[in-house]
Amino acid sequence: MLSVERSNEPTQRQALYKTKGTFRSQEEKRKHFLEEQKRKRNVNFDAGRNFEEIPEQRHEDAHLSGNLSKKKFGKMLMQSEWMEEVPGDLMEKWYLVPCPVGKRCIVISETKICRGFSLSGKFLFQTKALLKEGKVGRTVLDCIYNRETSTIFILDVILWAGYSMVNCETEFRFYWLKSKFEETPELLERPNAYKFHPLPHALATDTETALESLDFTEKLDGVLFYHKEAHYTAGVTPLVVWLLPFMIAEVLGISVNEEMAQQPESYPGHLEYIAEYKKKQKEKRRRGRKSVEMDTSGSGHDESSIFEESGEPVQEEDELELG
Amino acid sequence: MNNLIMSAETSLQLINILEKTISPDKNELEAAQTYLEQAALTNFPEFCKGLSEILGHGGNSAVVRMAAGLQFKNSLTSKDPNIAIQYQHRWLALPEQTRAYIKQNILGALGTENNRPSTAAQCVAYVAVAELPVKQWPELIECLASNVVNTSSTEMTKEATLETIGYICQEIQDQEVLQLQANQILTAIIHGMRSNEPSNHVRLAATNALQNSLEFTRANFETDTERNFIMEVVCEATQSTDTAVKVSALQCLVKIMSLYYQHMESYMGQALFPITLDAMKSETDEVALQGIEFWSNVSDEEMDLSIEATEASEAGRVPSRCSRFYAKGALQFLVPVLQQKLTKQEENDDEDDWNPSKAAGVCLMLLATCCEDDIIPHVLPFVKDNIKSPNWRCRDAALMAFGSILGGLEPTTLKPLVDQAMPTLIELMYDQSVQVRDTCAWTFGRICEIVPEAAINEQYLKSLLEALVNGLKAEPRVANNVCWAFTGLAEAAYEAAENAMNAGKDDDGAQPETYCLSQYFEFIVQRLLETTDRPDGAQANLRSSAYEALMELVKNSPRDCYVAVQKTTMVILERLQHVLQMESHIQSHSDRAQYNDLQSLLCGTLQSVLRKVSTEDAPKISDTIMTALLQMFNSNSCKAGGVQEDALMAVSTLVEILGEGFLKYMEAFKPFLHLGLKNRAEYQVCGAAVGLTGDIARALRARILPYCDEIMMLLLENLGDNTVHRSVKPQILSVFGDIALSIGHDFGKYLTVVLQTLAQASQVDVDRSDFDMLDYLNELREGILEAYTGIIQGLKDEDGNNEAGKTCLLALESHLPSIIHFVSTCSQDPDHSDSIIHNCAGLVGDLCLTYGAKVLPLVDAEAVNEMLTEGRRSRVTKTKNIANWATREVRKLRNHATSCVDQMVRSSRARPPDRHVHFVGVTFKSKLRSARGAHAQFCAALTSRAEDPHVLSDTNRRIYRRFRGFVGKGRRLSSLC
Repeated sequence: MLSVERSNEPTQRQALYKTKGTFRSQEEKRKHFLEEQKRKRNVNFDAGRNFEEIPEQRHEDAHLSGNLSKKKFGKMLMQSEWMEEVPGDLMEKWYLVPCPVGKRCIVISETKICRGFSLSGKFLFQTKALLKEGKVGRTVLDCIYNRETSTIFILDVILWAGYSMVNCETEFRFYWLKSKFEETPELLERPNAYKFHPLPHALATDTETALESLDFTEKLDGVLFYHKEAHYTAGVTPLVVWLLPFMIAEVLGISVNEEMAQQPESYPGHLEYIAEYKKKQKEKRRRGRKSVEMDTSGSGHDESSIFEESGEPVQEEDELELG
Repeated sequence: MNNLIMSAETSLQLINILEKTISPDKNELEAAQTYLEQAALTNFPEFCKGLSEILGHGGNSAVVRMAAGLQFKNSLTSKDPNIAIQYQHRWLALPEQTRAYIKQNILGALGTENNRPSTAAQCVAYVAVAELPVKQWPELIECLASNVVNTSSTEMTKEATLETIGYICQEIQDQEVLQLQANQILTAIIHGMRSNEPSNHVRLAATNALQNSLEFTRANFETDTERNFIMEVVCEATQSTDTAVKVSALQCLVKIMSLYYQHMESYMGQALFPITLDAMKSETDEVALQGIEFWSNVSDEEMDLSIEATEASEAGRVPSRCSRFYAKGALQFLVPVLQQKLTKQEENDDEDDWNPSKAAGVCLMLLATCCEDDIIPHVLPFVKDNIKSPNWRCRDAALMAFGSILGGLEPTTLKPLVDQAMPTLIELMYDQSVQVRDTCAWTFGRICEIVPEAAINEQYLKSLLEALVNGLKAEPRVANNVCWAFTGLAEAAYEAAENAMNAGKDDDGAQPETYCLSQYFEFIVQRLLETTDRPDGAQANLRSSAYEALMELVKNSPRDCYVAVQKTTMVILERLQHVLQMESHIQSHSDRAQYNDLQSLLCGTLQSVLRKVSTEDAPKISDTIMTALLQMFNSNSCKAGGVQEDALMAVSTLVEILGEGFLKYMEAFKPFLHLGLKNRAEYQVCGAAVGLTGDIARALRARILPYCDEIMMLLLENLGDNTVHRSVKPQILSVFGDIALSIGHDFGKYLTVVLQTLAQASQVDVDRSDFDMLDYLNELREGILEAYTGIIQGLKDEDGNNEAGKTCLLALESHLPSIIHFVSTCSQDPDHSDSIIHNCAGLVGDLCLTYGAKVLPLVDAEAVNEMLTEGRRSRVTKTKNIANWATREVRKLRNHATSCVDQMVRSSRARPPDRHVHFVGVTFKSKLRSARGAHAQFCAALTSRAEDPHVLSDTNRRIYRRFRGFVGKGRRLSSLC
């Protein structure tokens, strides 16, 4: 028999009377169980994926003006170890890059502007975008910034116009940088005070020549050696090593000019110097940590020398930002 | 025409039989029914004709006419929609002449019956339901309308005709069918509803018909004059002295308010508000209920509108409809009436009763959700004045009002309000009235859920817990609400501890060391366990509520309660063993039902304790647990699907905590897993068994291999079986993925058939207007993607030395284009879910990892790129992460390809050029075809190489070798595309 009473509001409303929200029905439990199985399955799948390499998308962060948090950018750059012993294949497999004094920095060039941040994420400078032709992807460079001369020395390339260079070997990355700047000399013609300067690299066999004819006027801070086949990795790597100018003659057994050979007072020798340095650094860090906790911008580190973090294993592996 | 009329003899026989359809003699009754069924089968047209004649003939008895009408109606419709459609087709297949004759008879019978409701009305209506949608019987509506409007029509004719119209409006789903004749229908209805209609029966039938016609008369409601007229008639009908007419007219108002909210402004203040407020105050319950329902409905509607407004403003558009805030404006008048009604509780409340007092509570709750803090000044005075009243009705009403409005208030207002009320509320838990204690316990449940921070307030926690534990011993309904309160309390306390713990760090998910309930934990657990044992536990669902509360308490327990959890585990195990021994004592059906429920609850509780058991302790108790569960599977109770399902889920949990350690039970458990997989009739059981199979596969990894042949066979059988509920099938596909991942290349023997099955399943599409089916499609596709993911990950050969694995990978290669095609289909489907994107991205990443450069031309495609872009923009972090990862894997391949070309160009200059340029040419061409955006880089690489000063012989050799391999792979791949 048909019923005209089809407004079902009493039962609907009745369910609301003294309703108990959290008691779950069998159906909900079942659904929950299935979701849980799905989650476990995903965990299982994810275990087979080289997930640790996932870069977090940090577009939003990079668009913010001002400082970047240390956690996000601090350990993104590739960092050297001290050259405590000479690699056996130094002559065949390594490039050297003489470095001027300045602050190590990460330079991010986007559609309109290009900004530099210190290792601790502190904002350093802002200038016009590096690449101008239309809408190109983001470019991220590994640089040294000399405040006195407003020059940005380019060490390495991480991302070029949206293309990741991270999985390219040093040989290719250096070649890429060099040819890009040669192809487009406009890149170096900057409208304002900030100048870009790609640092030249040379074969380790040509160390002497390279050091005699530095192409910058700033004081030489030290020399970096890059393994030709090294990919760009975040944090400290043994495939990039570092020597101070006064160690070069001693370690590599080549002659250098007087200025470079100038040793600090009571120089104990190369290995001893490094050991001493590491010890001091460790202490400083221990002391510094307390103040860092207070300082959210993370500028608690002394950044007078660009590679002073050398030799200290990086605590947390941070990922690379890819546009 | 003569041959149309049934012979008098046959007719008499039919009348005799129809009389017996109400016979008290069971045999006669059955014989009559068999006869009628036979008659319908052997000569349907004659049968229908005979019935219509008997119905139409006024000389027959009312019983016979009614029975004839009923038989006829039943031959036209059925509760089963598929059968109903068959019957309609059977009717339409009759010769037109026969149908015309029958229609004439039944139409003529309208108004000739003396019984209510009219049987003829139903007969006419169901013929109309069959014929109107196929554009037959065009004159019907006009005929019905004239029946109503015609001044010479009798009361019975008008009433029966309006009933017919009501049925037709209700039953015809496709509203377009009636829209063309909406004016005629509406005219007839309104005519019957007018206040000068002398018969209340006619008015009622007309008003009921109006309720059914409101959806398709939208055009009339859009026109001011017509709407004014309809509203006037409806409002007049609400003033009828006849309760039935009044109630039906009020129901019309409720429905009109939902359908035409935007047009109600001019009627609200003048008519609707006074009419409904008056109805609310009525002493007649049915009338008062409709008055309250009107405002509950307004609250619902305005909440929806406010959500719409928020969504619109977030999306930066103007909402299509706006709230007029009638509820907010009427609060000051509505709330006092509702509070008055709250005090009209039944002395002995029955859960199933629905009365104005309960409706008022619900209405207050909805008004609070709609008007938020604005309701406070109207409710608080009432609460304050009555909460300590000597009259229990007033105390209960005050509590009810307080508890009902909690959900709508701002947290900042709510917390101090509850803090202030806490001492009084705790006191009321000891009230002499059971109703008051019940409402008070419910209010605590609400507080724990809505303002948990107030519930765990240190100041009152101890006395609150005392009051609640005391409440566990009260009447079942009170204790049931207390159990619910404990559920919320446990969750709130745990969450607070988690938040405190995570405030300094950023790792979530860790178990807190302690929480505010720690010192009472064991005591509460003890009392809850006692509650589950109460002899009256079957009442008010108390036993299961107590177990639920126990489960929540265990689930939300910090580290320092672990000893108590261990103890609880032992108690549950003992109970499980005990309950198994009880089986032989079961006597009645209800004993069996209670016994089964108890087993289900114990399995559920077992799961919650097991999840807390440490990995060291798990193996120590697993033997006992598994023995008990196996015994349960063996017993009769597992013939009840519910128990079997819960037991399978308990095994799942055991598998989860034991991992590979579950292997030792596999041999003993296998038969029951198979039984579960074969339980096609109870699909929830089958689904639980399928899910468990996946859990086992993931836990045992390669060691599941010896069991795979049988399992795979059962799973494939289920997939191909149409009697297996569809919800199980996506799960089966996912489990293929679990098994494949666990056994790797050993999956090779199933590969052909599984790939075939997946390809078939990929073709499935569904009716897009059916949301359930859309959900199903997404589930099915997720299942397929998970299956592919498992297979591909399983075959990815880490050491690169496995020949069997290589063979499988090669076999899979020819399927890669169709897999990628499937990924594109899924992700481009406008109805896809976020999980689809998650799974698609994961699969693409896995393909890159497993096949390397070979898949680049396939994955570096427009559709895949769009899918990955969508994934990277997903709001779900998991999806975002996986899409980033997959993008990176694709990019790696692309960059690798770029740098290979790049370096190749360079090396080509160092070596005799012809061969190298050839290689470069091949790769460059194949890349150009696929790699979007990489073109520029390739061109740049090629041209800039010309001046490269670096020529290094050993590097070149290496690059050359790698490049040669790359080109080789590229060739093989291009043959696939």
